[in-house]
Formats: sequence, structure tokens, C-alpha cells
Amino acid sequence: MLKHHIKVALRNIRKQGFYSFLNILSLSVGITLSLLVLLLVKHELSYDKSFNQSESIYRVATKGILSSNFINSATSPMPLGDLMTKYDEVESVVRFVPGANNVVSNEDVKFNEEHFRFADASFFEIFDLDIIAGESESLLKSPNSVVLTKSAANKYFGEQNPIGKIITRANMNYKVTGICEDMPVTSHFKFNFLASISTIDAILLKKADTTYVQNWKKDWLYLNCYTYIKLKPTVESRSFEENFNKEKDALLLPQVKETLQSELSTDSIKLDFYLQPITDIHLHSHLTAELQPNSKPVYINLFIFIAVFILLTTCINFINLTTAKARRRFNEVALRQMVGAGRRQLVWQFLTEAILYSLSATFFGLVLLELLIPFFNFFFNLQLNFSILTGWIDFFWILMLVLFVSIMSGAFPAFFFSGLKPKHILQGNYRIKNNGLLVRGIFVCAQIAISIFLLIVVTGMWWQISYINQYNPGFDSKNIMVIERGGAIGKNYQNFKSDLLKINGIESVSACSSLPGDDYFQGTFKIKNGANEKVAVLPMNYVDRDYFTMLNLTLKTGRFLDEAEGDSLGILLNHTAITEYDIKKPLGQKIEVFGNKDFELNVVGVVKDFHFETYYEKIKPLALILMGEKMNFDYILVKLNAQHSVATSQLINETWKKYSESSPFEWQMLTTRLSNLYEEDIRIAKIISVFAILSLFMTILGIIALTAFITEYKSKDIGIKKVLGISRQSIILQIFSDFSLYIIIGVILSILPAFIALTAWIESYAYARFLNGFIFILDAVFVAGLAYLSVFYQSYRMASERPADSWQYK
Amino acid sequence: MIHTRNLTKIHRNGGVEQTILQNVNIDIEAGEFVCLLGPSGSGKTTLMNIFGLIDTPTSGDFLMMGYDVTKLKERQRINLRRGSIGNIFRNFGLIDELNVYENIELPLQYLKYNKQHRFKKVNSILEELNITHLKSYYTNQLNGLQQQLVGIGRAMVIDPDIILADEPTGCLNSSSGSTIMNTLNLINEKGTTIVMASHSANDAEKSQRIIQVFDGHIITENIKNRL
Repeated sequence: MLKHHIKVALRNIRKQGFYSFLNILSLSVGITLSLLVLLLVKHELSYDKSFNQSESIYRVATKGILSSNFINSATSPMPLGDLMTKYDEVESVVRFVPGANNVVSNEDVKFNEEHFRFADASFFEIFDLDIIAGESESLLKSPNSVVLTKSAANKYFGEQNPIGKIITRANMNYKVTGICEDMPVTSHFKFNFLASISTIDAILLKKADTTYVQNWKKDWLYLNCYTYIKLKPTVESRSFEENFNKEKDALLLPQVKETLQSELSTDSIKLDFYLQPITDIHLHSHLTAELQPNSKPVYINLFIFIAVFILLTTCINFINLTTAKARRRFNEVALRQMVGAGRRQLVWQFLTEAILYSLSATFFGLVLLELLIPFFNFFFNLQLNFSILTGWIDFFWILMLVLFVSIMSGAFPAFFFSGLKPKHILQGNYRIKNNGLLVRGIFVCAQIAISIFLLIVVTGMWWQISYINQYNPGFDSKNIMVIERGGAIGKNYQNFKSDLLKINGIESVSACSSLPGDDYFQGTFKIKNGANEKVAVLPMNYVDRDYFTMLNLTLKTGRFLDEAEGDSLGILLNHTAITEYDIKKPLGQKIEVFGNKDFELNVVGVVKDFHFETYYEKIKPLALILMGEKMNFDYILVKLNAQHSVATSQLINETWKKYSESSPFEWQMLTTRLSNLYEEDIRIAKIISVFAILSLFMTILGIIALTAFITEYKSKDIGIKKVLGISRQSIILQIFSDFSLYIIIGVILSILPAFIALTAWIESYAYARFLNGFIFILDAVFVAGLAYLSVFYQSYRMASERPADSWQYK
Repeated sequence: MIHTRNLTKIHRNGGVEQTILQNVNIDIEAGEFVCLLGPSGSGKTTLMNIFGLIDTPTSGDFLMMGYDVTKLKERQRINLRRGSIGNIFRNFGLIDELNVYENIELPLQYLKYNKQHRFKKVNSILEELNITHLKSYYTNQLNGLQQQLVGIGRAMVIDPDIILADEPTGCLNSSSGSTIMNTLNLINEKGTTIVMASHSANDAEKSQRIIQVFDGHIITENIKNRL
């Protein structure tokens, strides 16, 4: 019998031509999209789960109050790691310190490397990456040893064996002792080089004495590393957290007391540590000093919702398209019943048909998915991969999806047709019931609503993105070239600057230590305000004296910093700093560096607030200080004038090479750098845009299907009216009026949720412009217009049929 | 084979009641070829639907093949219909997606005959009706006569106790109609009971007994061939 069902279904698919095509197209697109979204969800949920017993691995984060400043950071102090090793509950502990962006070289092969980390030897006990070469027991134990990832090894050594070879970074040699596989893409941090943590001592000793190094390692108030622990499987993390927090106070409090005494301060300092399961970090952690930007669970919910909606839409469109051509099947069903078909056999017949549709659609869907994935990965900056052959789980889920789609979409036609009574069909008086129409209408309403919802949300997102692109940040970012890793110039900054200024096309040259999007160095100061003293943690930016004029900052009072005025101990504050710390007379105000009573800075001016951070943050207090001669700048800023050309950049590059000992020349325009700060939001907006367009496509298909069904349902009435001489316009108008209800309800249903969703999204910005109400209406009118257009097409065809055609099956 | 007593069928549609059949008393014995003759709207088709077990009477007794059909459950009625009743339709009632062979084979599939058995039975029917050469043709490739022969073949293939033919010549010209009537006669000669509904007196003449139906009543019974 199954063979018979398959045969009949295949012949039906062939016979119904256009409708079969629409059906398979709609199913294929639906399956492809939902698979894509599910892959995306799977990718997002798989973060940090590839490690052995990943559910027992935690990052220790720090929360607390330092004076009136709240701290909630992903980092922790060094001595915490030592304390952790003493607990029986802890299986292993690893600390790592991220290295600054610096040039790593193997003879002539040189690259700027961002992902250079220093880690304890226990790193691989927790993050159990495969060791491809080297002795795993001895890795990271001796100073100046480094483990490379496979891709870093290829980059620097090609086909050669790197073990035992030397790489150089910041005038320090490292011996390659091991190669490990790359960190999984789905990890909350990356590394290409992992050097032993003991190397840090040597690095610090170059700049300071042994006391400093010891303090650096013992300081409980310095959050200088990332600590990860692996608990024994039976240990309950919350109670363990309480225990060690109690015990750490015995070690931490004496230092707090000592610091407060030496500062004669009465401020409170309180630090607590808490455990973050690493599997939660990617979606739930948004602390300061995150190792890379994390995602939000709201996106996962949104994606799951989209996947479910697409699948439901697909099924409903299938039902509508299948049952729209019901008249063709009525006789068949009645005849089958007459020659002995039972209900079960009819149900199986229609389910087989649905499964066949789903299977063929899945085939096309998978081909489409295979073709789309590289495009998706490129366009949306994702790293999805998909393979039926290598992942049986993928295959299992696809089978489940096919079954789900088949059953969902096949069940309704199956029960609908099998429940027909042959006597009614044979007597020619069978009509599709009105309540069926209502249910279909509700689903189409939902489709219209969701299309408008997505369209409004996505317009709102682009609206905000365009707003922040046009928003005045309070400084001039045009024509400024940012050269990264300015430290490579070393002490020759002034010479480099004067050489650059000789190049035609350069207006001015400046430098700074931080740019928007960076984590600003936080300085702790004591501000005296009459008899009161306040401890202030201020973001600081070390700048060169031309910084202010280059960025065209506005002065509110006083003057800009200038070495010529003897401002090596001068400080410039922004307006928020003045209001926040209630500084009545800022000019000449003394600000003491916390922990160093003899080191006082003198406020020389106040600048108008500008956005030194992203628009996600409200403008905070900021301190601008001139960079000392011995310090290195992170960024060199070059302002180009109208005469600049390609030759200008080449000359800058040559000058750079001359001063930086051939360090890589990496630059980008400041405007590009600023717009890249919102890359993640732009990426999400792009993804949702594609889904909005596809959902619109599915909705149009759904409307075509429902119109087909309505015209079918009304065919007899319309045939009679045509015989009686009704005009074509009246028929079209009648179908339009039937449909309007669904469209209007769809529009109404979408507006409020779209408003709520957009509000929730836009709340992450401190500076935002909400979508104009007019755009809401425009979006709704656009979707409604498209809906009417597709209704018009079908109703016009129907209204143009001869009356005899409408009756031919009766 | 078929016995009805005071069989009544009333259609209710909202507040409107319409009596389709009233006090119908019919006795059809095994091996008979009976024609229900009457104009459109006389109740022939309703009576045929009741005989075909796809409709139920509102009141009265109805015995078929020894069963009190009014007391049977839907499933039992389907089972009785499946193996014992063959239907022939005015518009042939063939399934477009199936070819001649498959259309005739269909009831055997629902009766769960094995493939060999089906093959044997269908081929013997095709030979009997002289349409073996058409077996792989689809319905749209056949003329009316050929389609109705396939319809008859499908009714015969289950070796039914009774064949119900609802205006089997209604969509055919007179020559084809005559061929169909001859074929039905041949089937009846082999012992199969046939009940035919028709409004053609010509066709009715070719049956053994004519029952005239008008406005839901049995008016006369012509028992010419019984005498």
C-alpha cells in the first residue's frame, strides 16, 4: 500500500504543477531558513561546551566597592589563584594575563599579535586542547617558554617543525615548547600564543625592581589577571563561593586596612569574588574587561522564535495550498471510500504525500543551505558549519525537522480529507466549512503581523544605526588616520612627528593612549573639596599636546594642556567630572594621586563633554593628562588635509618603518574605527533584515495560498453572481473586503510588540533616537500593500474566469 | 439479498424538512438484475446510497445479505461494503492519477490481497472485458465507453455479491450505452446481483425487473421476466 501511496503522491505533485512548485518552494525556503536559524542557535549555545567537564569550569570574577565606585570585573587579583589551590573542592586553577598587542617575529616573519597570553602551566588541565607536538607534562613550566596554536605555528613556521625554535616579542625571546590545536571558535576567549606566566617576572623586572614584582603578584587590590577554576564534580558552586569569600577576607582585609591607613582615608573598600560558569559567559556575562564582546540571550530567544515562526508559517502555507485545491481531491476521496478505503488508509495516503513534499523540499533546502552557508558566514561574520556526513546529530535533527514539518502540515489535510462523507461529495453539495477559514485566517493574520513586526524592528535598528553614524560625538573625527600600536616608535615620537609633518598632505600629528571602544586606564585620585575628600576612579587618557586641536575639542574654561606651560603635572577634566565630583572652582584645583601623597596634579582646564566611549555608555568623568617623555603612546593620530593622496600613506609607511624597526604598519581611519564599534549591532540588523525579507516572502506565499483557498471556497457563489451579471470589480472588491479583516488585525497585532521589542533593544544605547511613528505606519502600509497586491492577482484571475469554469466540478 | 420495510429518509436542513423516501418496501433476491426507474429528484440516488451503505435511512427496516444494516456500526458497514458491494458510477468514478490496471487493482489493495493474487485477478478482469491492451493507459487517454468498462472492471474485481450501478449509461451515447448494458447482463448471467438506477426506459428494459420510483414512493413493479 505504501508503494501505492508514494506513486499517487508523486503523480499528484506532477499534476498540480504550479501549486506543487509553490508548495515545494515554500517548504524548501522554510526548511533552509529554520535550519540556518537552528544552526545559529546551536552555534551560540555551544560556547565553551567543548571542554571536558565544562560544566565544572568557572571563571572567578570580582565585584565590590572601591570608595564610591562600583567594580564588577571579569578580572581578579593574582593571589586569588594561590588561595584557590589550597581548597580540596578545586581540581585545578589557572590564571592568565593577556599580553598587549605587540609584534611577534620569527626572523623575517613579523606580525602584530593581539592574542598573546601568559598562563599557568595548569592551563591545559582545564582547557583540554589536544597537544599536537611537545611534551604535555612540561608545557608552560619554565620561563620564556611558549605554546603555539596550530594556525600560529603555520603562520610563523610553515612546514618547519617549530619545537625548540625561538620567537621574539618585545625584545624577549621565547622558546617554542609545544603546539596545541586552535581554541574552538565557540570560546569566550582566543589565544594564538600561550607563554608561561613566570615570564612576566622578567618582563616586569625590565621596568621595575623586585619589590614591585613581588607586590604585583601579591596585591589583592590589583585586578590584573583572569582566574579559572575547575571544581570537583560533586561540589556545589554557591556554597563553595561563600566559603572562600569568608576565608579570603582574612588575607584581603589586612591589605585594605594598611592602604586606608597609609592614605588616611575613611572610604570603604570591599571586594568579593564570585564564580561564573564558563558555559554562561558568552550569553550572560557583560562585565568590564571581558576578553571579547559577548552575546545576549535575547538574540537566542529571538532566533528560536523566528525558527518556530518560519516552520509554522511553512506548515500553514502547505495546509492552505493543499486544501485550496480541495475540489480536485474530493471526488478521489469519495471514490476511494466507495471502493473500500478506510479512514486510516486515507490518512496515510495524505501523510505520505506530505512526507514526500517535505523530503523533496528538504533535499532542495539542504542544497540551498550548503550554498548559503559560506555567504551567510561571510556576510554576517559567522562561523557556522554544517555537514550531514560528519555530524550524525545534525542529520538526526534534520530528520526530526522533516518529520515535524510533514506531520504538522500533512496531518490537517489528512484528517480533513479522510473525514469527508462520500454521500455529500457524490451529491455535489460539499462545502469547506467556514470555521476552517477562520483558523487559516488567524494564521495568515499572524504571518502578516510578524512580517510587519520584523520590518518595524529592523527599520528601527537601521534608524538607530544611522542616527549614531550621524550623531555628533563632540569631536572632529574626519580625515584622521589612526596608526595602531604607536608604542613601536619608542622614545622617538617627537622625531617621528616632525618627520611626518614634513610630508605633503598631513595637517597635524598627535597621539593618545586610548580611543573610543577601548577600556580606558582607570586612575584613582583623591579630590579635596573644602573639608571633604573624595576618592574618584577616573578613566584617563594620556595624550600629546596637539590632541585637543586635532580633535577640535571645545574648552569650557581654562586652557588646553601644553608642555610649554609646564603642564607635566597638569590635568584636564571634562564637564561631567566637574559636576559629578561637585568641583566648584576647577581651575587650580589640586588632585592627589591615590596612594602617593606627594604626587598632586593641577587642573588647568575643563573641556566640553565629548563621547570618549561608545554611545552605549553615558558620558563619564574623564581626565586628560600629557604623556611623559619616557612613556609610549598606543595610537598615533595623523590628520590629513585636502592635498593628501596615495603617496601620502606610502610616505607615512616609509617613515613608520624607519622609526619602528619595520614593525607592521597597521592603520585605519578614525571614522571607520568609530563605526566599527557598532559592528555587532549592524551584524544582527543585517541578519534580521534578511529574515524580515524572507518572512515577507513567506507571508506573500501564505496570502497567495489563502486567497487560493478563499476563491475556492467562494467559487460557487461567485459563479452564480457572474451568471447574474455582477461586474469583475465587484467580485474583486468582495474578496478584498473578506481579506481586509485579516490584514487589519495583522497590522494591529504587530504594532505594540514591535514597539516593545524595539524599546528593549534601544535601551542598550545611552544615546538613541526612537523610530518615528510615521515609519511604523509606513512599514504597516507597505506590508498591507503587498498583501493586497497578491490578493488582487488571484482574485483578478478568478473574476476573469467564465462562469462555467467556476461550476465545472459541481 | 435486499429487503426494506417502510424505509423512510428525511433530510433536515435547519427548520426545513424534506421527505426523500417514504415507506419504501423492496425485495431483491440474489441473482436478480433490478432497475430503479424514475425521473431526477425521485429518490433513486438516495435509495442507491442507502443500498451502498454510504447513507442511512431515517426510519424503517433494511436487511442486506442477512444483516440488519441499520444496527451496524460505521466500521462494520465499511467492512461489509468493502468486500461485498461493487459500485458503478454515471461519471465513471476513475482516479485520474491511476492507470487502468491500477484503478481496477485499487479495491484489492484495500482488501489486502497480495501482489500475485492481485495481478492474477486484475488480468483476468481485463481479459474478460477485452481491455487488456488499455491497461497502462490513464483515464484522460480513454473514451467514455472504455472508462465505464474500467469502472465495471473495478466493481467486478472483488467478486461482489451485489453491484450497484447508478446511471451507468448517463454519460454515454446510445451505442456505448448499449454495450455497457450488454456487459452488465453478462455479469448478471454469471450470478451477480445487479441493482441499477436509471431514468432511461430503454436501459431499464434490459433489466429483469423494473421498480418505478416517483417522489420517494414505489409506484409500480414490472415483473415481466419473472413470469
